Amino acid sequence: MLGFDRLLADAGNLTALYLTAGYPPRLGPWLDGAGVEALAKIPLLAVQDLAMSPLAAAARFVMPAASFAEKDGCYVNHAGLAQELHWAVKPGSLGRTDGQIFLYLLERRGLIQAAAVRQELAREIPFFAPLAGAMGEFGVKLGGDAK
Amino acid sequence: MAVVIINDKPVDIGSERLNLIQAALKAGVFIPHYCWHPALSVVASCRMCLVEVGEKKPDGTVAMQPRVVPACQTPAKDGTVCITGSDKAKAAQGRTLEGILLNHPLDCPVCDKAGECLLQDFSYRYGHATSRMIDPKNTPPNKPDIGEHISLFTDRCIMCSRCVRFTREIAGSAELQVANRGHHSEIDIFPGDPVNNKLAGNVVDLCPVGALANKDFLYKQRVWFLKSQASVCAGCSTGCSIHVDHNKDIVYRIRPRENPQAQGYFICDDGRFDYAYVNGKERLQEPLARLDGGALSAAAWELAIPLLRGEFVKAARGILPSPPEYWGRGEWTGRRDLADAHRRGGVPPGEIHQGAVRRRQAVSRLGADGRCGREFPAGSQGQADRAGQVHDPR
Repeated sequence: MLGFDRLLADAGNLTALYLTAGYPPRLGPWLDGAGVEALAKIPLLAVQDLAMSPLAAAARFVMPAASFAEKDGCYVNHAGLAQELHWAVKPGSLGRTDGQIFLYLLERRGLIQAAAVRQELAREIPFFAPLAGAMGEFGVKLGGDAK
Repeated sequence: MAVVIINDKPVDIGSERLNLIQAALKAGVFIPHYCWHPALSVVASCRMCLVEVGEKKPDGTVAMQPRVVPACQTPAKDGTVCITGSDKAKAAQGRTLEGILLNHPLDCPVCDKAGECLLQDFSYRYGHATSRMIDPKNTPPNKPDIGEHISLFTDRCIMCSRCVRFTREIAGSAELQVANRGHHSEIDIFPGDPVNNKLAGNVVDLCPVGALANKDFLYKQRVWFLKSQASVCAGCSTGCSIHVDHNKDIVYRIRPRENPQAQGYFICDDGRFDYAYVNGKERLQEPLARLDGGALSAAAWELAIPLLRGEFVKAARGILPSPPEYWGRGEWTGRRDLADAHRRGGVPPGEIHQGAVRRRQAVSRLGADGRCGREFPAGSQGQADRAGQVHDPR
């Protein structure tokens, strides 16, 4: 796992990058001029975001991202609490949420199901083992009680 | 273990410190209340939760108190007996509602809270059908700009003081206060000190009636049209639990969802009011791609996905991304040398291409001098360059 600063520093060595983002645009574009310039040099750049931004304008492919109200999934907060997310409104891309786009790209059949993805995740990565079961109304803690 | 008897039904509350409203909820009985809230201090000012309380003695006799008492202020201990539906309790509830409704304006048709108003709900279940009020109602002036996001309809206020206690105890900024006394008392701010703290929006959820309103949601939608979805706020890493209230694929408001493991009862204004982008016009709705090597243009999903996948698969196999003249044509097979790639600003010089590494290793297995036994014409793509890198012979 690399930090984003490390990615920006190493951008010159990359041939291709698929970057997913979904920051609420309240405070403006989430990446500034220097960062955009660094990533724009990558020959194959795909950006998946909520709205157009300087970074998306420099990309070769731009895919629409779904906001929190438009997709199923789960969020893990700073304290390690994983809570389930449910979609409330349909996205403009009509069901082609972030997860569904990944399924298409991986050439996996069917529709994205958050619970199934969580179970796969729980099998592959022991830290996410609590996600295999029911998340409950209040979420589940990851990484044991000490956090 | 403490056993409390609610309406003749014993309920074990363990060793928790509960008041009778909470103990009754454990027994499945709801005691109506306005001013009490689990996160705020107890004031027992609304008098809506009046119930009959007594004590069961060890010998089995029950001694009831002569008057009704507020359930929010009465701790539940072992042997406490509580009766919520007796004639005395019902009469108290009815009279409390009548007193609150004396000066309450008939604003239901224009009030945002209709449909989720505790005064409406309790009047229907515990109140009287008629009013005995014959005098003109008290109509203090409204305060539409009591805060940047908050508006106060003073005549609707039932003086439960939840908002005052919230700004004092939870937000810590204490902007709201009760001004004047008795019949003239109303919620007000100090002049020039509006309710602009980061948690201001929560007073709207706390207000049992439509006195405090959220200017962002005011008059936008009736609550009975809204569907509520449990979700998580995406504004920061706290991940507060929320309800997303929506109708016809439009998000109308965000409300906090109680989660003792996450944030508790309240959410901040940044998360509460930052949902307009979900239905914003600037949202991307379809894929964009540089198909002709030029500007980004809309591409059909059936075209964009295979193209994107194809380019990334090739990149993963060590084939440099296609140059602009090949974009969208699907003909690119990577037959370019590294020097050209460097000139275009792609892979920098000295960076050994993954495919070239494999072929270089294959050549070195055939002969220590790097030759594979075949002669290539000078300058052709099959000839190794000075750095020892072998060009892609495909």
